[in-house]
Amino acid sequence: MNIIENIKTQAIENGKQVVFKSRMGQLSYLQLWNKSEQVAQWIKDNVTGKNEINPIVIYGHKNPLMLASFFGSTKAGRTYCPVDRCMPIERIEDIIETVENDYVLMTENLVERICKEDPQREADVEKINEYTYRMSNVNFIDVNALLVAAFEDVDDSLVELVNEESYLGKDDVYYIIFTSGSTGKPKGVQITRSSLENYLDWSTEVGDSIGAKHGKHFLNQAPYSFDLSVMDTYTSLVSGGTLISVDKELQQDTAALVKYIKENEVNYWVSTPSFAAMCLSEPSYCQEELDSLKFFMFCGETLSKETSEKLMERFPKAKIINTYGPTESTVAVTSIEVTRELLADEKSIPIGYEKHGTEILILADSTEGQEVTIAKHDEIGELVILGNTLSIGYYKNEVKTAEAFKTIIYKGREVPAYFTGDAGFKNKDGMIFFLGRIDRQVKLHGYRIELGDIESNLTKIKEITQAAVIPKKVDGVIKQLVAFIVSDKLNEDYDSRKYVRNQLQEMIPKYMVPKKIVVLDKMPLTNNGKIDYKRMETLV
Amino acid sequence: MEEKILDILEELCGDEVVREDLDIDLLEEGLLDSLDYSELLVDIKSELNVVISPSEVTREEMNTPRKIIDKVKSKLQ
Repeated sequence: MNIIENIKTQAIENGKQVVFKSRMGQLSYLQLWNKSEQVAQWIKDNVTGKNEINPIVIYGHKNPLMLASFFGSTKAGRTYCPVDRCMPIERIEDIIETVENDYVLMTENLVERICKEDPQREADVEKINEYTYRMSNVNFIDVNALLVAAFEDVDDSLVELVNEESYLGKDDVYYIIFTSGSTGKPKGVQITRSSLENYLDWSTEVGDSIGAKHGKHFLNQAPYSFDLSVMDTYTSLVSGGTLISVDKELQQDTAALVKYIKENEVNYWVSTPSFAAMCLSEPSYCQEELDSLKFFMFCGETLSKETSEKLMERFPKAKIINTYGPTESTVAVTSIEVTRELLADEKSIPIGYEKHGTEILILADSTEGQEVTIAKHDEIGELVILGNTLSIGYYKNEVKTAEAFKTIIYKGREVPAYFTGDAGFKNKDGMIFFLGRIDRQVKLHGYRIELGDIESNLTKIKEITQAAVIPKKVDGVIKQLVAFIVSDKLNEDYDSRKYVRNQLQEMIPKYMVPKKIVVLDKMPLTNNGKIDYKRMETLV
Repeated sequence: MEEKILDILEELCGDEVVREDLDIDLLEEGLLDSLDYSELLVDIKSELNVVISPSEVTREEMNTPRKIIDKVKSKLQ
């Protein structure tokens, strides 16, 4: 796989094809190529000195120029760090400070946003030229204004401004994505070009072939600061597809969202399971309306049987593919097609089998300097990932890197491994099951309880579509479990709560049944479209 | 006092039904298990300064919010 070559071929052969479309505008492959050449040229000429080695923050939302900026930094040989506007300002500034680059590219005005929130900062802003704002010694570049002011718009022939020698090398860091991190400072996961290309060798062949994906339409739901977006964006880009990107506001109006997806004939749905579960509340979210939808590709959190079954009913012609992977091993490393047979055979949906080039070990035990102990089949352990898509570590964070990225002795050889902090097991056929974060295992009255286990049992109750279980702590000690459920059939009354508790007691031990049941209209979701556990913690 | 007991009960049972139905059978409904019951006695002591020893009443005599309130009331007099 060669990302740059693939896009260039597409720009030459199918230059007019739309590469990206959102409500904020669109770009063709040729425009993407040309504008990214211009961005690259500008970066090479201006982002110099110490800034040459430091990553470039690219800020914005679902603007077509995001892609041109990403690709521009790749061609200029620079690492980029995508930051979506859904992040709070404090965190954005924290990232800008961490990467230590005097230049930030923006496709919407971050300076204005910062000043709006804190008018006192306005005094610190200096407008240098049509496209440069300087604040706290950082230059914020308005990409759109830059392209208008400094370059000519060419959309009939291929522009070549930067030499191939400037391009990012195979071992260079392609992007840095800051993970939300459950505690403390966010960690910048560094993914090299070769890791990304190894991932794409596989992702372009998931579901169907790269040839079949050519010219097709991919949904982009995830913000660019969440690496699920890499799945849709780069798979589409290197396959010669078209991205249909939906902005935050559109995502909150499901009826309008369905209409937009219908008009743009999306073929590959890529999102978190929670986002699809939310869409299921809209009756028009079905095959009759979305005739061209052929594949659902999920990643980022657990896919429930409930959601899968409903999707199968609504979309009889579509295939559902579940994938798994932490940001630290480039988007995803396992996959499986979810079929009716699979749903009938298994208690929960597996994450499937490893991709070519990856091996997942279920670690029972490990001691430094000794061969690791692998769990037997069906035995639970920590998922440890080996292979050709591992991150090289967290940006400027040796402590956290050393904690998660270790060299282990496996089959007598020293190999680099990423310790995921996820619990799971392999069955006798090597099919992998994910059980949740190790830290979602709690102790209540002396019992060890897997919160994810309760959640998956809750969604087995046919009236319940989504569930989240949160421990309620008093002075740091877990006193009680609270279950938040979404149901279109149950009301917020005692009979419903009693019904849920009774149903649950038939499936799991009494000590695991949450004391408190809260019926919600809608599951709170994070900006990335995952269940927002942190927010619910404040509700218990 | 009544309000405080209901607060304690709601907290322990995890369900506001204890306020809505003062005669609900907490044991039969599975709202208050033995662990919760001992916690209830501890909370009544610390919040209301009323000591009810487990030996002086059976759980059955304390099986509804109303009976619990009445018991505490009688202790306070």
